[in-house]
Amino acid sequence: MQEAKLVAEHLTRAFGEGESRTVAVRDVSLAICAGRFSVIVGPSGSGKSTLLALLSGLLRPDEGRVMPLGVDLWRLSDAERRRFRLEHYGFVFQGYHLFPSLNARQQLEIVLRWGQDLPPRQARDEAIEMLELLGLGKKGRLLPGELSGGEKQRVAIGRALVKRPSFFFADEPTSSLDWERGRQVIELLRDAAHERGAAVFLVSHDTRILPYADCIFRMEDGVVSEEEIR
Amino acid sequence: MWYAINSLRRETSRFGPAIVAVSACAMLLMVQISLFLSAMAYVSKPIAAADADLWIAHGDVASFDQGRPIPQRWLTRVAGDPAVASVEYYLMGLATLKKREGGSDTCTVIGVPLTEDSLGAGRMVLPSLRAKLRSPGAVAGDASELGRLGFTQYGYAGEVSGRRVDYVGCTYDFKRWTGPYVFCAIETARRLLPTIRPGETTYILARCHAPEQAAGVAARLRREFRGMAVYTRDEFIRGTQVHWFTRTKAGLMLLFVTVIGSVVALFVTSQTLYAATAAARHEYAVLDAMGIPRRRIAVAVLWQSIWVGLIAAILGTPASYFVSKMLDQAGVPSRFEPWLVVVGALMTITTAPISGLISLRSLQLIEPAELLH
Repeated sequence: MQEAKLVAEHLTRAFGEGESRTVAVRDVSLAICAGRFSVIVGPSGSGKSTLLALLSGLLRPDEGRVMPLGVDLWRLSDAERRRFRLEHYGFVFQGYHLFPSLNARQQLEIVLRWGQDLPPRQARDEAIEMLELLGLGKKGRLLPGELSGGEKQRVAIGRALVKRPSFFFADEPTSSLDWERGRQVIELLRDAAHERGAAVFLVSHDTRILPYADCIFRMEDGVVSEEEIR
Repeated sequence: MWYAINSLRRETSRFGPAIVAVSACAMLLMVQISLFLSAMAYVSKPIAAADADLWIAHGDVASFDQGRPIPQRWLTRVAGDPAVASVEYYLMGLATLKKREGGSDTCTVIGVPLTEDSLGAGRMVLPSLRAKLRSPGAVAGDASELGRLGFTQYGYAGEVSGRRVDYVGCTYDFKRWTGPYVFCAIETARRLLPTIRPGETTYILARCHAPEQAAGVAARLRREFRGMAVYTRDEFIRGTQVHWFTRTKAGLMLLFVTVIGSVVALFVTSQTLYAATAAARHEYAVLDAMGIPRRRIAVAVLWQSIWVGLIAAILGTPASYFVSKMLDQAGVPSRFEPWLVVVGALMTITTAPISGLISLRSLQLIEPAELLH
């Protein structure tokens, strides 16, 4: 087995207080390896999105710790944690969240120019290269409103991949796509893991994804009930 | 900046209303400033239009409108100063005008000597009108106030303080917020202002050999004669304006409306930009999740605000010009001058980024974890 790139130990996170307190994630420990496509599945309300938020550093755990690349994420200052996310994390969310005024190429450029201070020409070339890899070479000038749902999600994936992250977190990336387009997106994410060496961690309730996964975590009532490594 | 330009160009549904709202605010600002400054200029216009370097008044008088009778003999006190070149009387007071066509109104009668080098007439009563005003009972009104005064044709125009007056001509650009001015010869004014007794005047005007001597003369006269108010031209203009805006109901109302209008304009601009920024918070949240520095997002939001301010200033200028023209034609003193465009545009362009800075608080709404369902 490969060396773990991200280790989570005894993560617990609850919402609310008193009688309305709900424990979304309860004492979860897991490890995610580089170059592997990990999928976490479970019914709605099982705590899988909260776990993703905890692993990606977007949400502070009540207990436990998250250690990507051996770094205890919540021991870093806000600025250091942001810097870490900038250098190592990529995200894809369910709702695309593309800027309506930017075309496909500019959606990627904005990450490179604002995040990595690349000069405009270099950012443009790298964005075009990524779009071509994603099969969107001819769609670079189109605005989100002119793209199909699958294309939008591929642009969102491109936006996350263009800065070459070590970790790639995806929340229900296929939920608004038909299976054919959803499958293409899944293959892209799996390729990102296998060919780019990224640790891809995906949350979904769609079990059709499972045959593509290298690691499967099943979640129920805030607990990882089953772990399958292939 | 490229992101700001793209978003303004392509997201018209998001920024269109913002630009319209900020343009309206720019217009409001410019019209308010125009009204405020016009009022400032108009309340002190008779002082500014006179050729006097010094105004001598009753000791309790702080503003032109407050003029009270003073003894004419004070003139010798002033004329005795070696720096003073000429002196004269100036009568001013409120009176009731009974219009020829019926109805009455309060007016402010101003009576000045009509000599060629009259200090009081100055630029107010042009030489061509001075000859006409020399006839007993001859009066003039401002061209913009003739309807209000009932001066519809030359000749008999009604009665002021029960004395017949004849309309003989008009002045220009002497509008008034309250009772309109009626200009006449100082001899006519004596008959129309019975509260000013023989041997009294309202003001004594003086001109120095050189205008820069005025402050020194004023200081000397103040020292020597207690109970006599002595103002240089600029002091009296400033005092009249301050008094009008801080002591009269009309002035206070205008000041209040201007301040409120400007605050509302700033608030609307700020809220509009806030809403426009908040509308994109999910997109910003994705960048935030990926660690893009908030500083970059903030700069982009500021650029958007600057562009909105620029466009709004360009659109708001002609709008405020037309509103000012309409107000002016309706008899409300409202001057729209080139420098006002510059000031209004600068205020809008400055206000927009300030509002943009305030709207940056909407970036605090960014919570990337909310993007996870």
